[in-house]
Amino acid sequence: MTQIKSTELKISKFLSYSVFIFGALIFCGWVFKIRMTGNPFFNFEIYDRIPLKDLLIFHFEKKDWAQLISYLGLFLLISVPFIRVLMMMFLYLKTKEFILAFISTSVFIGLSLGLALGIQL
Amino acid sequence: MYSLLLFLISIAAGTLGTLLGLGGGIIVVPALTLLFNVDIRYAVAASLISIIATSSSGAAIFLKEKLTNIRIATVLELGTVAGALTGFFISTQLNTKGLFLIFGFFLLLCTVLMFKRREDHISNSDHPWSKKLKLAGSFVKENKELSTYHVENLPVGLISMYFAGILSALLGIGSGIFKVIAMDGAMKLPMKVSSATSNFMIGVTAAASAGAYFLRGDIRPEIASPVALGIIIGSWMGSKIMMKLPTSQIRKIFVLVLFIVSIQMIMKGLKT
Repeated sequence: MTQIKSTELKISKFLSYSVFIFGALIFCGWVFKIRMTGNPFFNFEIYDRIPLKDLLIFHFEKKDWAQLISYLGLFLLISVPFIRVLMMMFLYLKTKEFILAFISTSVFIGLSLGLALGIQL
Repeated sequence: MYSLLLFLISIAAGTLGTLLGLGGGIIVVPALTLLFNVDIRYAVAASLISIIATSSSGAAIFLKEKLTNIRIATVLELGTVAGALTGFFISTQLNTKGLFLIFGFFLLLCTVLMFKRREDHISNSDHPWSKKLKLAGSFVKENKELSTYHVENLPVGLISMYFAGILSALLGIGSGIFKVIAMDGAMKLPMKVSSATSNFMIGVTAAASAGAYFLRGDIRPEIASPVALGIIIGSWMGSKIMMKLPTSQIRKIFVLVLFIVSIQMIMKGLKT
């Protein structure tokens, strides 16, 4: 039980720090790109599906580092729950609670399946 | 200027969402679509990012206070993640009109649910699955008394989480309101534990579909960055002023705003 409590504390610290650090990355990217004139949302009035890979190549070729930093921050923020589920999985394995470890593994597989769906659909 | 305006609206959404226990997505998605004319698919995707951020920062506080039951969250996440994947799949098949109408009717339902008085339901018995997985727990009440609780109707909870997951991926919301109702009403968990555990889970629920939206290219930094940053700041502010403000008064005003917005969303859906 003590091991669970100390891991809860570790998870809590990990969540706080990661939101702060990745939020700072997103902030840097946003501040460098912010435009005071015109409507930056004009391009988003009609949905146009462009896969992430193409967007990243486009910004890389334009050397648009601010946009790439924003994408990195967003990616890292999305990965926080993935890492949290993995931490839980290892915790349950350590405490030999195999049913809960199996459930955590299934949740992680589900999350990964979401990524695959994003590429396929 | 528009970016700054969206940032400020997101701060207000985060503050109000925290004060009323609804989350910011329910305000941000209508703001993006009705005020800034952004396509609802981009709005939903941006909102999911803010849910991950608020869930992670909020969960840290609840974990420290030992209100979150991480064992229950682990089990229920199975339902929410499966639901989120289904929701993402449905979203790829729906057009803008369908999404507007579902969102509008969902907001209407929320206005009704916000009127409902919530009471603590305490159970003395455990569901067999709960016994097997040792899900029962305890927490310290305001009067420093240790209160133990048990978990009933786990299968009903799991099914409810599946539907909450669908709504989350489809509408870019945390659907915490439904998760809390299922945990409190069906599983008979104390309200504080339900809220904290729901907050812990919504990040994982949102991540299941956010990952998919991200790789599909629907999460655009131009929209997602000011929304995520604004909501992080807003929810922090909301947690600070929560104790000082009479939330019942704000709730009444917000119910009216929510009702008007829901009608506007339905109207926009019908016109699209």
